[in-house]
Amino acid sequence: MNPRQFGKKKRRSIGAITPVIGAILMIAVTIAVGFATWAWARSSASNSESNLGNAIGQNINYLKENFVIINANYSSTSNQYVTLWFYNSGNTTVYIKQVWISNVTSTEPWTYTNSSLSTGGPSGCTTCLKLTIGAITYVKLNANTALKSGVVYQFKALGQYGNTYSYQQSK
Amino acid sequence: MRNRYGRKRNKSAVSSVIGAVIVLGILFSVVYGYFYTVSQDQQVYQSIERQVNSVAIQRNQENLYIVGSLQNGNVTFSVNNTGIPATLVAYFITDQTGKVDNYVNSTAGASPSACVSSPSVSASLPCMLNQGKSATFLTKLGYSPGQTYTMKALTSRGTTVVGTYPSPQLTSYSVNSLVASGLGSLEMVFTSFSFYNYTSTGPKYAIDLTRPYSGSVTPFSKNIAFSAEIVNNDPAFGTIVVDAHTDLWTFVSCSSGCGGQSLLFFYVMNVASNGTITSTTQGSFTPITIPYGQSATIYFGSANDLSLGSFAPQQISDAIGEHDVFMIFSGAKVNPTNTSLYSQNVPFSSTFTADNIANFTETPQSCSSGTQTTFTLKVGNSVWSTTGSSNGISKVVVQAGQFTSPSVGAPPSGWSGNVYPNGSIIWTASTSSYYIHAKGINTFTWTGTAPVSNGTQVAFVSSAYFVGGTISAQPLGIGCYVHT
Repeated sequence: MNPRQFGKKKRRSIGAITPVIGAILMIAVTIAVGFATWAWARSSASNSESNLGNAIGQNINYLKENFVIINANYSSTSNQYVTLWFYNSGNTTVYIKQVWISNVTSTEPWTYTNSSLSTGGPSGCTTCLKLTIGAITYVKLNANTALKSGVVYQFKALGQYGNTYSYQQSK
Repeated sequence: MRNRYGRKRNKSAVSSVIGAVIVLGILFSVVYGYFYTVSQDQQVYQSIERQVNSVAIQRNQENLYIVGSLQNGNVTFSVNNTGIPATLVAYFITDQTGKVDNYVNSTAGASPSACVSSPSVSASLPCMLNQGKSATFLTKLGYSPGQTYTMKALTSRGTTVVGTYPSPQLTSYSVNSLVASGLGSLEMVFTSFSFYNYTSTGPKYAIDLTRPYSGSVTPFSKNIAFSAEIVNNDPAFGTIVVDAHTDLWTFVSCSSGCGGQSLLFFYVMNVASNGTITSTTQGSFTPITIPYGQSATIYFGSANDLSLGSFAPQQISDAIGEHDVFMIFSGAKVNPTNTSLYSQNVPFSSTFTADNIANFTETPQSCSSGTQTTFTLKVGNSVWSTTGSSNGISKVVVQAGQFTSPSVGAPPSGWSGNVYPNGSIIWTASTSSYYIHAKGINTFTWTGTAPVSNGTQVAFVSSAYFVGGTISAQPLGIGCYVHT
C-alpha cells in the first residue's frame, strides 16, 4: 500500500467521525449555551417585570387610597379623648396606620402619635383602622394629655399606602 | 467536505440556524414578553390615574351650600346644589362646644334616591341632589336660644359642606354672588352698625367704646361717631387697605325737592382700644388693613378728610327724620401678583335721627311653653333726649296680647299700670315730675302665660311716648322666644 494512500485513508477515516461528533458537540454546546442565555434573560426579565409590577401596583394602591376626616368631637367628660370620623371616598379598602394630634395655635408645639388604632388589620398593618369603601368609620383616640378649650388641634392621618389627610378643629 | 455535487458543505450551518432560532426565541419570548408586560402595567396604571383624576375633577366641580333655619322649634337645614349632581351620604349637627347633637349617615353602597325638598318631609340618606336642586333635612334637635349650631353635610366624593344656624352673616356663596354681581369685596356685618357718645372733646378726643348704641336711631345735632364691622370677602383673596378718604355720609331727602340739604360726612379715623381718637391732625391717619376672610371695626367720626385737614367732631344736624347711610371705601387692593386702587360704596344702612331717644331692655328673653313668666322691662331716657322738667317719657305701652292673662306688677312711683281687653298694658305717669327725664330710668314688671308652642319668637309691639321735642314716640323692640 502506498504510504500516501495509507495516510490518506487514515485521515479520511478519522475525518469521517470527528466532523459528526464535532457537529453534534457544536449543536449541543450551542443549544446548551443558548438555553442558558435564554433562561437567564427570561429570569432577569421576569424579575424586572415583577419589580415594575410591584412598583406600579404600589402606585395604583396609592392612587386608589382616598379618605377624608370629616369631624372631630372632643370628649366632654375626659378631656384627653377625641373622636375622629373618617370617610373612605375611594374605591378600595383603606387602612389608617397612624394619626398625629398636634396643637396648631399654641406657642408650645406638641405632637402625639397614635399608631395602635384597631386590631385585626391585614399583614403588616395589624393595628390599622379599617375604612370600608363608602362608609363612615369613627375612632376614639387618647391624646395622653388634656386637650384645652380654645386651642386649634390638627389631626393628620396616614394611610397604608402613604396618603395623608390633615384636619383642624378647635376645642 | 464536499457533497455529491462537488460543492463544499458549510460545517456551521446547523449550529448557526439553531443559534439564530434561539436568538430569535429570546427576542420574541423575553424582550417581547418584557415589553408586553410593561405596556400592560402602564395601561392599567394610566387607566387608574385617569379614574382618580376624573374623580378629583368631579370633586372640584361639586358646589353646595347649607342654609339653616328653624321649623317647629327644631333645627332644620337645606343643602343647595349649584354644582354637578352630588350624592349626600351623611350629616352632622354640632353645637358651639363641638358636641355632636345629631349624626345621620347612610349604609355604605346603598343606592341613592332623589333628594326631597319639602317643608314637611325630610330627605333621607343617601340621596342624589341634582344641579340647582336642594334637599331639606328636618331634625328632631330642638333649638336652644343663644346656641349656634353647625351643620356639616358629606357627599359620596368626600366633599364636606358647612353651614351654621343662626347665620352670623351672609354665607360665603351669597357674598360671592353679590360680589360677582358687582357690589364689591367688602361686606358690612349688619348688626354691627353702632354709634358712640364722646367722653372727651378737645384737645384730646375720646369716644365711649364701652357703650355702643344701635345705629338705627341717632341723636339730632349731637357729636357722635359711628362704627361698623367690615369683612373682606374679596373673590381674588386680596388684602384691602382702607385710606383716609373713606367716609360714612348721611343723606336726608328734602320734603319739597332737594338741593338745600347738606351731605354730612363722617370720615374714617383711628381709635385706640380705650376710645381715644389717635388721628387728630392732618396726615395722622394710619391706613387700616383688612386681609381676606378677616374683619375690622371701622370708626367714622371726623368732619374732615384726615389727609386734607385736622380732626373735628361731626353731628347729624341737617334734619330730624330718616337718613340714608352710605359707606364709601377708598384705598388699595393687594393681590399676590399685583396691587390696584380700590373703591366701593356700601349703601345698605339707614338711621333715624331723633331729638328723643329711649333705651330699653327686657328680661327674660326666653319663656317656657304654656308657663307663666314675669318680665322686667327697663325703660330709660337717653342723654340725647330733649331736656327740661316738663319733658320726658310719659307713657309706656306693651302689646302683650299673645300671652294669656297678662297682669301688671307694682308700677314705679307716680305711675299707674292698666291691662286692657286686647292684651295691651299701658303705664302712665301721673304728673310731669314723674316723667322719665333725660338720663333717667324706670323699671316696669308684668306677668303673662306664654302660648303653647315650641320654638316661636313672640314679639311684643311696644312703644315709649315722649312729651317735648319733635319725636313723640319710639318703638321698643322686645319679645320672648317660647320653647318647651
